[in-house]
Amino acid sequence: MRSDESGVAGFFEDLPVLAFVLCGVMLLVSSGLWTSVRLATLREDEQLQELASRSVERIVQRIESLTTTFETPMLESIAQSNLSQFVEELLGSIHFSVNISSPHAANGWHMGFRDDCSGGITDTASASRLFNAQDSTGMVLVIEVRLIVWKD
Amino acid sequence: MSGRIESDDLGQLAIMDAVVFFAGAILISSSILSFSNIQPAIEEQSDASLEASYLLDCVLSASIGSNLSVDAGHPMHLSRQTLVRDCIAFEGDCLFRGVEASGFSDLNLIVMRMLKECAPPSVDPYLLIVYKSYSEPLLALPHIPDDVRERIASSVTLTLEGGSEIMVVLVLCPPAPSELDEI
Repeated sequence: MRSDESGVAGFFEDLPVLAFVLCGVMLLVSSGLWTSVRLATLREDEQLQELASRSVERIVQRIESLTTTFETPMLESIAQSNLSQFVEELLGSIHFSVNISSPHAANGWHMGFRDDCSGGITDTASASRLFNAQDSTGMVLVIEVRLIVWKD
Repeated sequence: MSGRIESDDLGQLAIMDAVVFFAGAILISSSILSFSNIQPAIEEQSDASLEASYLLDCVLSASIGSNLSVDAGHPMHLSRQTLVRDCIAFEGDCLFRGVEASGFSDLNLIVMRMLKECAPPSVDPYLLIVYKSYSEPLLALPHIPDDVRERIASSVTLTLEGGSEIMVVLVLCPPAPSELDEI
């Protein structure tokens, strides 16, 4: 039986070549995978953020549509409106927490509600929007609607 | 036949090729990774601009919240229901006519407090009142520091009783570095 010495030499000489090529391929594959996962996560975050921004706009539109005789909506009519059901219908399976307050008033908190969620949280997003509302004394306040949405 | 394993020049060329391939892979990977870190800066800028617009509009449409007196050459009482928009228009008109700004210090304090409390915590609000035919502001609350790189502004034009106009400009700037150090 004849041994092929040049074949053995070729094999050992090619090992570093193989190592460099494998490392290069692994580097390309891992960075490609990491980037695609990151872009997918970013896209999900953007979608959730977009949903939060659109929803907070819809909530303010809903509040502003409550006004009948006054130019600005009344705080009482906001409290009496069924906003939580509206937000539930708007967001579907997405969990939410809504806080309506007046940032510049001494006792500024007006109302808040959230859905019944006890699970873990994966993605979150928030959005807020300012609008004006009138209290019972005729004062026009700056009101902030802050919406937090999350997925479990 | 000797037992020595011989090296081959072709092997040396192959390893050079592999090193070049590896260097290329590093280059491509780093460009892919840097691409994934690009942030949507333009969208954030337009959101911030919209936020400034809402903030200015809402504060101008709100009531001042406390009864106060201003010195417009003669003492004048403002009720707590008076809208900020009307007060600013009145102040702008008085300042244009040469009334001292110190007479409106309480009103300016209230307006700035409202702006600070309603603005996002990451920015400081500055308010300018500019008579439309003049480039220099009638009033700057407070003076905008010169070393601020990033500014977001929104403006509203108010028409005075005589038909002349003033422009109210809200500028939102990130806090100065010295303030951040204190935090």
